[in-house]
Amino acid sequence: MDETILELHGIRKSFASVRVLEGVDLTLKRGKVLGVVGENGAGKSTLMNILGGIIKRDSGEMLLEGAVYEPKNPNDAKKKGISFIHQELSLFGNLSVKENLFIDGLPTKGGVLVNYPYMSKRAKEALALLGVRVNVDKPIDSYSMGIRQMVEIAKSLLRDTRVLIFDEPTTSLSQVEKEDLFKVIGDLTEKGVSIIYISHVLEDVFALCEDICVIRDGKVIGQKPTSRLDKDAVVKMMVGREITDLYPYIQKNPGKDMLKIEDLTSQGKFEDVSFDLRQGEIVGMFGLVGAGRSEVARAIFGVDPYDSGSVSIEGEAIAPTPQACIAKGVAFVTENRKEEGVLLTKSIQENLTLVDLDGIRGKFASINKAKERSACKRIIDLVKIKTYDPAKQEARQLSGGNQQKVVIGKWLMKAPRVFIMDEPTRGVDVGAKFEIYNYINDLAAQNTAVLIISSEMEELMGICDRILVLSKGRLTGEMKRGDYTQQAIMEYAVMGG
Amino acid sequence: MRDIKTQNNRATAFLLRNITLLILLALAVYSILFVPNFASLSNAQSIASQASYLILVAIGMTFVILNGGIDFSVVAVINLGSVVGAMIMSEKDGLLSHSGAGFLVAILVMLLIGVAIGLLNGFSVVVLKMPSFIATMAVNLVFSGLAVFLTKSDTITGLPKAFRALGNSQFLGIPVSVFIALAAVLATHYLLSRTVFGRRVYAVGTTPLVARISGTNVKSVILRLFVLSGFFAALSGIVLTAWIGAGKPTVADDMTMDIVSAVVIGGTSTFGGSGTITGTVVGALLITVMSSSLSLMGLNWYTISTIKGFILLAVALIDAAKRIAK
Repeated sequence: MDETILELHGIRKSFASVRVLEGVDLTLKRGKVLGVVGENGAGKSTLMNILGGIIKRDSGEMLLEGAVYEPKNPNDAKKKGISFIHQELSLFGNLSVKENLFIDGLPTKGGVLVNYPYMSKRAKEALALLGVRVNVDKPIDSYSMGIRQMVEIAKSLLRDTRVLIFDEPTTSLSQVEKEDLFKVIGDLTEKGVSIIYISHVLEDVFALCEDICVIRDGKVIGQKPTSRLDKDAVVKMMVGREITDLYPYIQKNPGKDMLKIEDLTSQGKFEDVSFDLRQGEIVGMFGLVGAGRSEVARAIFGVDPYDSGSVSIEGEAIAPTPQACIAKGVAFVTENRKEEGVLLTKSIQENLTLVDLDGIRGKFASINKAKERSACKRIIDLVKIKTYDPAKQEARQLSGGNQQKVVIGKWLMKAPRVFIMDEPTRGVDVGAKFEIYNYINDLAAQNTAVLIISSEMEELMGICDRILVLSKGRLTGEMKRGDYTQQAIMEYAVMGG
Repeated sequence: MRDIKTQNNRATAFLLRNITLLILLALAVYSILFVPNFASLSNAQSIASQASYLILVAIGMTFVILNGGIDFSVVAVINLGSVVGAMIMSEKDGLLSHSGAGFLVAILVMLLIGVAIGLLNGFSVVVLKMPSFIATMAVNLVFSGLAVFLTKSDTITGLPKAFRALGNSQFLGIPVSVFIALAAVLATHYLLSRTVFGRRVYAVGTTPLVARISGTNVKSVILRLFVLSGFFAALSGIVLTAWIGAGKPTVADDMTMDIVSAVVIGGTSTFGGSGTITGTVVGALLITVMSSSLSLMGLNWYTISTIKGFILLAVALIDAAKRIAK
């Protein structure tokens, strides 16, 4: 029996004069999982924020179990049974697991003293329901993202949650944790909880969801049962055009050795890592979470220190500092754009010019505003950043994909000879991903040596000339294009230390 | 939702900076009309002189607060500079009492003291990785103590006329110190808002890790911020010592709150990354006009301090609220 638990009709929302949602209709069936997909900026977050009581809709109606649903604020939404698990979890790192579980309403003895024994007991029970057994007294930031997410889910189950909304839940999860999450979602739906699952990872959406709703430009393009859809159809609906190759590849002739890493070692992180990058080559680095890939990249660029080994460009050793690397033409996009890539409160121009400030110098150590404007315009056009005024708009107002383009853009100001990118397409929608792949190819065509670290095997197999695999801090495998198989790569990735 | 919040933040920030200016103008107008003796040439000159030395030291402090830090040692820079400078140039028993250019050497030494203490602070923060709060407070205690020790708590008088002219004389009715402050404001405003260094300062103050990965030498920038703070504190001390006409080891002792207030009221966030020199100037003027006005109204120093304290608290709360709203 497919009973509808939640219905949205004609939801409209504008911010100032910008129309974000233009009449969205959505249906969620009880005990089922509805996938919601769409490019960044399509309106998914706004829609979910309306559902979760964070903002108010302009018009349209929402029905929860047949009754009109108009949450006044997030607490109201929670009371009515709608819980939201955000991409950035709302947990307090230094508080214990049980305190986090009950943060919305600490149980008390006589209304004044906090009832810790009761909390411990209930916390253990709530987590056990999800198959999680941990010490509930330890602070929550001593646990992995996977466990933290389970705590967040348990938190929502302590109130009587009928609809659970997940926003990009798997971005920081390992493969194992992802499988645990899917299992939990399966259990929840069996118990009658209805789930809305927002994600960019289409494989997961297809695996989990009974229906998929595609949003584009503030409208629902279609909501159909998963059985009647395939990936290409969904991508076409999301983007509005055919994307023939998800992963564009161009034939190249790699040139001389550019970057040479020899026996790089950092105690506890990685050991004896050696590899080369040649001009015009795109090399991928795959590994599971914790394999040490980002650590290697950060050591190469001088962000974190390493213990032994050498890094050289065209035969010359480079000192392990970002400045030395930049002077030699190395660029580095880290995996954490919010904390390491972009100045959120500064304008797009200020962000774009940060690496090559000397390039916009005028007289007397000043900044030549005209040079700045034209240099930024060149990059914005090249990388296709969507902005209404790069001198005024702050980076934090951009979507994830556009922010990533700003980070990549600032490194393109001075044509790099070596470009290291750590998870360049994480949290980026399909359309922007394709654009990023295209200019990675352009970079290679201009003889830049590119190293891409990624957890998406398909992506690496799609665009790389060679794939290196790291496992537990060691380089365990290298494959050339033509020899790639998912099985072989995964075997290298799980090899012992 | 995100867009409206940031729009509101920008509107609030914009309003706050203009509110300070509007309050300043309102207060000035009110004082001219209703506060006895406010609207006199000598009071105007007095306000101008006081604002000048406050602006000078607050400019230096702005650089440090822009980085999310603080510099408590500016008091020591002024105190020690005042004392050592006087010891050099005093016509009574100064080290260079015979020399007509003694005061020039004194000025140079006072500036060097500011730079040296700034370097010490910078070193403590950047190399020893001490929080600026602790490091500058410790430095302040040591060097203020030194100032008292050197003079055995006495003041040193007999400063040369040429030196005292920096504080006392006027050009077209405007105290000379105003021109010094004006030059400093123009130079630092240009430095912060128009130069490559200024951009790096803002980047480091916003998210130092981003700046570092993007190739900025964060340690060098932070070191220079403390040197700037020490330098402008020294410049302020020169003007202040000239104004009071003596070397006094306790001359700057009660200034810290006014300096920090001037910077924070002027719109610089204590969390770093945003703020301007012109904002600090408005903040310093507001504090000086307020002090003058309230004291001419008959309030005593403690009451005035309490009022200033409340205003600082209110501004700090707004600063924090802005940050949370992000």
